Amino acid sequence: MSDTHPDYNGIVKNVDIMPHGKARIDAYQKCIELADKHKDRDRQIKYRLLLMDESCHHDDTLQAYLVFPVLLKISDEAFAETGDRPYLYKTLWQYKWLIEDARFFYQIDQEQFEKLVQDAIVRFQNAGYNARSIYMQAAQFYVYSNPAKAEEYYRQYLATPRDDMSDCSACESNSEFLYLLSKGRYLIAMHKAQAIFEGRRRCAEVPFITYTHYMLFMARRKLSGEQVSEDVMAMMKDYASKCRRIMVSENKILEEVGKLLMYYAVFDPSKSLGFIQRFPDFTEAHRYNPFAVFYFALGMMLFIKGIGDKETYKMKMDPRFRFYNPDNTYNVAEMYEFYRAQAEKTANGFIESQKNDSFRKLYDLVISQEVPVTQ
Amino acid sequence: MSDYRFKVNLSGMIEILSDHLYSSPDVYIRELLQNAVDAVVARKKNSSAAELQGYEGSIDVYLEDNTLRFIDNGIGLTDEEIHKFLSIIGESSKKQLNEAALRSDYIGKFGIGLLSCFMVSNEIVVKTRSIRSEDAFIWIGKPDGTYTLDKYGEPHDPGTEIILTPKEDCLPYFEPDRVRELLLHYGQILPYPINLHAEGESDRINFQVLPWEKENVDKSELLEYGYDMFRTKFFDAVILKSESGDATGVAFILPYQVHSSAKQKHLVYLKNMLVTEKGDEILPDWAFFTRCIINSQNLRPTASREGFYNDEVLEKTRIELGRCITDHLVQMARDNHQLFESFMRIHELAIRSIACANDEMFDTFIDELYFHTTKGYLTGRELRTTNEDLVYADISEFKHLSQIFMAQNKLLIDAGYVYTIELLDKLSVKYDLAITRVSVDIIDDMLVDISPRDAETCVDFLTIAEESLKGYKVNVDIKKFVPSDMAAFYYIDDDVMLYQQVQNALNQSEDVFSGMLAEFASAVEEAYPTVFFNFNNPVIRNLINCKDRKLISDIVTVQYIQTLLIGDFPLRNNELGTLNFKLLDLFDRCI
Repeated sequence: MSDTHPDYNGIVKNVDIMPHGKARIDAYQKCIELADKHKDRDRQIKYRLLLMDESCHHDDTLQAYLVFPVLLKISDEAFAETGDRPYLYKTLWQYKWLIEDARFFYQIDQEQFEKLVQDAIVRFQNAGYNARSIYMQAAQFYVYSNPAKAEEYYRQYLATPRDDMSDCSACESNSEFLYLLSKGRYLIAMHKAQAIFEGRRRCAEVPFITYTHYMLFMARRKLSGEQVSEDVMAMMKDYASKCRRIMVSENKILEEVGKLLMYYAVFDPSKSLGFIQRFPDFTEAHRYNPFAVFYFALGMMLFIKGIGDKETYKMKMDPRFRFYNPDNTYNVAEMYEFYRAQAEKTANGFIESQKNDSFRKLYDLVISQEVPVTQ
Repeated sequence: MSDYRFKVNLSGMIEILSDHLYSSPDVYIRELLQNAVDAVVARKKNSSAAELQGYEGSIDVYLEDNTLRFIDNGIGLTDEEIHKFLSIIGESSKKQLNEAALRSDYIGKFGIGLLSCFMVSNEIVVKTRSIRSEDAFIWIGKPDGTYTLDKYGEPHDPGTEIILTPKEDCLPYFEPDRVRELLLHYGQILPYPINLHAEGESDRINFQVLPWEKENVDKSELLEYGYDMFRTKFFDAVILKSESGDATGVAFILPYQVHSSAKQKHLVYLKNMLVTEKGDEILPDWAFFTRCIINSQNLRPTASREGFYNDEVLEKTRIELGRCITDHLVQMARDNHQLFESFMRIHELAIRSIACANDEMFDTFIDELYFHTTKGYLTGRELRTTNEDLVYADISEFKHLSQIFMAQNKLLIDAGYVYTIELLDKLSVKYDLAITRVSVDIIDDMLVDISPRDAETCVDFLTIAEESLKGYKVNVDIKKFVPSDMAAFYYIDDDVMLYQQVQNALNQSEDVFSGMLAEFASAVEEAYPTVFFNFNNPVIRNLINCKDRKLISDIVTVQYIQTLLIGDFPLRNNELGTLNFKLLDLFDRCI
């Protein structure tokens, strides 16, 4: 990418070949600092949007939450002074993403979420768009904590036609799938996602996030003592290998790593350790993403339960692993307690802030497993 | 309760096909070719060896007076089959076949192909005679859903002839050059001769043998073919073969560097019929430095026939075709190192990407790959065999830490280059190396503690420095380090940066977001950057012994702001104004 101004171009001209994630975010941060310094409003907004794009796609959503309030303030100032909002479409699109991700952060409580939703709806409507996508995200936010409110939002979603601010059809199918699956409406959920599972509907993250959610759903069933058919097992094996590939090779959908680890721990334990070794510092790298950390912690708990009744366990880990020991011996109870405490804290955080007890229920289910589930 | 049947509005259906299924009216030629090829295949399958003696399937296209006649000598249709297959949308003569037979023998499947002709013509005339019948028939279909069927009075060889006259605005699709181009585009590798008869000339359009399937295929011939197809003088060509997708083809290596996220548009044929020119899913993502032509017998096309289902067969095909490319490169590295070096000069980025994705390629190439470090460019081999600690820093850290690492002759790897972190990660696993990101502990080790005796002499200096820099929210310390001409060193780690960002956002946020940001802020630990003054630096030494508190304060402040400027750190508290003011004051005192 290039920028006509040499100061900015000096920072971003090679950004396209930088690794995704921190390196690019750092470059955009530098541009934002410059733009703020020069009060260059266009670039103040532009580079904040680029940073948000990078952070949402490469699993550092906290950065997006930190940047967006200021971006919106600058946009409002621009509108007050000139009657124009630069990058309005992209700004609203990012707003939508923030609302979508809110249910993954217990730091955002129901009251705060409702404020965001109402503010976003007004902004969307003022810009000539409807709030179809916001309704869907709100439905997903409330699905466990306030089912009646969730259903009302879902109805509003269904009653609102698609427009330019709507998610792509693959994302919409995926959202419907997640919502209906959360409601326990398995058959209709599968029907909605049929085109995704058949490979006919896809985008940057779909079908992978559909797969991981399906695998989590099945893992939950299995942990509850229900049977999972051979056909489903075979399909999930295929999904798992596709998801693993995109996580390991392309650093994508990393927030879903924990769900895949849970799948391995429940259905294919021999692959768990190799997968954990691929993400030795996952907990540290994602420490500000409670959702990602929660599932990873549950996956680790199940993996450790699978080790059996042992005081120590030998495994080869990277020095970045938080319990790294050069002699490769690890205290099983110490590791288990760390991940248990982390999962419990997150589960309780969601109850307190979002009144969502689904995390706690899943945590209790994992805790209740006394022997490796596949035995 | 009564049963009713849906009715289909054919003109609405055609609109859907043209607006939403097919990318352009051009595809009518593809659909005609598909049906013709399937008809020839069906004739071969439904005839005895004796009946097939002397038979060769062929397709002839005549263009006369703006009318297109498309003739195949395939199986043809009986009157019963005409009613069934030409007149019921979605009914296909291949419907009763199982998936395996469909995949191995036929191209078409859905029974909607002929409808595409309504995109360019207001009438479809089909003259056909089945190999099982002496009678020929003429079927005339209209876009309003009506059709007529009569016996065709004149003699007709077994096979099918389709006659189209262009709609008023579709004349360009019937011009000889356009038809020739489309026949070549979609059918150039079809296994049966396609002859075009137009403007008084007749000639065969397609290849007799696929260029990459010739015996003793010549590389230069392949490269010439690549040039004809893509107008590019490619660097090299790799023959491709996949058992899963029953696919063969050729991958051309681009002669210039391309970005790793570039989606190459590969030409993908199904049973010799072009299906897509945007087949970016048939090869692994890392093969972005190639452009390919691939012919598969066994992939499953989508209804629009412009892509494939992303199923297990495609997945396996992708892996197998990728392996052909990696095998070729491995062989090139072993047998023709000079060529390989030239390849690396162009496509090192690609190789880095492959090495990340593929363990075998990593083993093969890691020793040849270069890494930017404080000791110049070092290869993977040099990194894995060095006795030094392997420490890397990302782009912004490397910039301000490299000076201190270089001065101390220590190795720091610049991880700002694409794929470096991923490669270091693999290097660490493969060779059991401890490769760590630079941390405050490592920096601490490089900044040597001063002796208790020296520390005593620094107490006053540090007290004044802390007071002077209090407003900048920075920790102050003093250490010994080289280079000695570096008076101060400013260090900020990720935790500090995040803390600063959260505080900054909180300070600027408005009501809607303030609660949320306060929650985030409470979860992020308080952390401040540190400025280390250098005990080895003569100016700092003099300041330690200086009794003028104001002078110490001014110089410490100037040094601090200078470290920010040198490290390209953001200035937030009118530091430039302060620097200017302090310098002028210092000059004034000197004068």
